[in-house]
Amino acid sequence: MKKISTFIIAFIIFTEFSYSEFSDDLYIYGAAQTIFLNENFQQSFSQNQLQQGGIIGQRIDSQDTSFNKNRNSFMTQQVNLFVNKFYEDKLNFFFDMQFNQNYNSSEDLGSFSIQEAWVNYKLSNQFQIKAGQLFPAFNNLNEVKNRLNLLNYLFRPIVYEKILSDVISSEDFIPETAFLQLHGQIPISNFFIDWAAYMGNSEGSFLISNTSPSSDGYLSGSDPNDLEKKLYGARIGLRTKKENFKIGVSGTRDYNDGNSYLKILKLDLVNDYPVLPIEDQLRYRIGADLSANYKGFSIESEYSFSHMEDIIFKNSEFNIYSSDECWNRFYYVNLSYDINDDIFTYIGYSEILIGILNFNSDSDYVTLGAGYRINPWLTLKAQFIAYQQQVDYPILWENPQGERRPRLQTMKLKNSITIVGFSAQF
Amino acid sequence: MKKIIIILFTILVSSLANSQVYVVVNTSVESDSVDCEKLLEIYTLNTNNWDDGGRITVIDHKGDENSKSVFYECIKINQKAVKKIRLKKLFTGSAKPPKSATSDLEILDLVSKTPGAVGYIDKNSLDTSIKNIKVVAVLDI
Repeated sequence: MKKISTFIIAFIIFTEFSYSEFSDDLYIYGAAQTIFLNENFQQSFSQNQLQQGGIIGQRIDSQDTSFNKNRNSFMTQQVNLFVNKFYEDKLNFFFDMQFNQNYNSSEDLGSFSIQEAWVNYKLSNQFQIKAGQLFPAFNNLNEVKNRLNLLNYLFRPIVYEKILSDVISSEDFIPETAFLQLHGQIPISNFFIDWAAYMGNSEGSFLISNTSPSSDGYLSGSDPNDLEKKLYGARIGLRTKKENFKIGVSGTRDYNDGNSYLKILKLDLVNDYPVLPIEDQLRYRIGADLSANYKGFSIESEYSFSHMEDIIFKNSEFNIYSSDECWNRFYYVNLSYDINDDIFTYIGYSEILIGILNFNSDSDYVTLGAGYRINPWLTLKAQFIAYQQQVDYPILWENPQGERRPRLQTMKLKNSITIVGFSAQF
Repeated sequence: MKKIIIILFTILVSSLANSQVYVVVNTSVESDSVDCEKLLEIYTLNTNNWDDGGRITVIDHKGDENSKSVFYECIKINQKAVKKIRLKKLFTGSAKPPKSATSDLEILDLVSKTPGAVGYIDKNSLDTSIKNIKVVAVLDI
């Protein structure tokens, strides 16, 4: 790994110094999306006498307990700044900074991150090398997931939506980042065959953070795992030269961070009980995507399935969790229609199914929305989302005799969200 | 009234049929002809090299000139789709935007001064006195 890191750093430094004297084009541009969000939130539980931990963290004593809340908020959902520097015609450097959710460091609000920072060397259109932090080619949306100005919607399909990043771990479904990608497009008649193969770190949660209790001598931000536990992936696709039809299949192999599940289990399932560490699991993701447009109508869709090897989870007191089936599934379909050059409307459906141990979650949403392009740089958008989630999960329940037994708990969540906002690019 | 409408319609159709666009390149480009398929790849920013390996500089009209609609009709793609494709490539860092010009004269000027440049103009705007340009395709509808 050290050799590869050294090579990448050397490659970037070499290209930077070698080509800087020939530089001719620098582009700086960006995009922002500001929203007003109304959320009606209902949550209910079908068990009594339970201890609910995690985000809610309160005791619920009555049967069929439910919450009903209504929230309204203005928010700078996301601002991106892009820098693209071209050196001659074969090489360019790209940088993408992102500010999320009313970012303010002094108030500890939102987040700021480097989303991408890479160098692309184009040997030919058929063969290119991209090195640095990048969004890897996977399905339809992954490479443009944070380019909100390119998307019709305000609220992205579930796994891509940053507002839900505290609730849903996108890495269970898609590879978030890679660090080295070979890719290209091969022209055949009226089509291009797109191909990509890449590698990177497995999961963001593997990275050593500044607050890690023990970094074992590793640098903050680095992944201490060896090459065996890295991400390896590929996509092959076909698209017309007019880009009105695109289809592809993707696949990755990496490792799931067992400790991230441990965190979930500890927080939400067995809050009071110590648990043993879970091993990291080998994980495969398989994806497929299809997009097409014709006479103002356009459809985009993708499907992702991930499977992890067996998880054996033991509670120090009870051996209650074990399973040989650990899988996640996600898909979305979005149908848009351009009423004219300026006004568009769409309807979409997205679903996530999670099956980990005895934890099963089924979330879906139906959405509809519309937008008005005031000019090429500014678009007004409105969207309604009816989101619901049902989660079945085991809890340790203490009966009146003081005996603790595993029980299955069902939580239902209904959420209707109305968002209006604008997307601007500059 | 009917006759007038028919006459006007005939004039319109014949004028459209006679719309011709010249695709011009800088003389540094080795090719003497470029087909519509290659022009589609070039103007959707899917390629940035000529067949001889030279770098392509794309020049496009900024406004909505007649030659622009003729050009895109000939290469069989609508302008809205082109805008969308270019925007995606720009925001994913995979291509730089084309240079834009406000008139055929400016296109001829840019093409003549930029090695590897390509542009298109109305056939009536061709000025043979301008050096370093050559016509590589004639498109009409």
